[in-house]
Amino acid sequence: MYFDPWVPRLAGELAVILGRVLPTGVLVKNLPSSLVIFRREKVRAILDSDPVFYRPYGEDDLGAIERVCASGNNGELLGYGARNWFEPHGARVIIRNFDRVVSMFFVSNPADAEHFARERLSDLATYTGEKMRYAIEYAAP
Amino acid sequence: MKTISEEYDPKTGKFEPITMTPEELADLREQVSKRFTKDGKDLGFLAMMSRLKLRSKLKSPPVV
Repeated sequence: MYFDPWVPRLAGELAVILGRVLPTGVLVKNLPSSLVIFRREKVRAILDSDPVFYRPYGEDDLGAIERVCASGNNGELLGYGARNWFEPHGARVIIRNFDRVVSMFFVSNPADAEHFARERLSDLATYTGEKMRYAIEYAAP
Repeated sequence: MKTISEEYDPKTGKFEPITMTPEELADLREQVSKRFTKDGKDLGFLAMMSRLKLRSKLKSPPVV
């Protein structure tokens, strides 16, 4: 899932533009002050993996997404391997471009950090066309 | 603190193990501390988008 906080006017405009060009099955929604883009089947699998956490009041998919985005618990949906930055003993993943500028930072579960670091690194490098690097810092046990 | 690093080349599709210097790691940590808030907000998102030139290249963004 893609998520970023845009002002409402821009989120609405981007949703309209992207909705015209994205492939079938990719949904674009503008939530209050943010934009989300996702494939329903991928997101639903995560939401359904823990309904008590993701759908405590029986929210539908978009309602559940909105709730975890607003509360800062959307890390699994974003492909980071952890729900938020406060996972005990979480591994810190930093991705940088070839100009040494940090492009992405997130926290992952230590057991999954390398997998998600590789996934996000290859996403960014593929779309920029340049070599990029990641560093994973594991907390002391 | 244990650290591992890799470099990815989109032209070959390969990951290579690398060793970042302590200075490079310290620079990355400093950038993170300045840019990301404790609750996970990226204060430099628009600057990063511009620097990565993603705006012009993001014709088909990665979506999971």
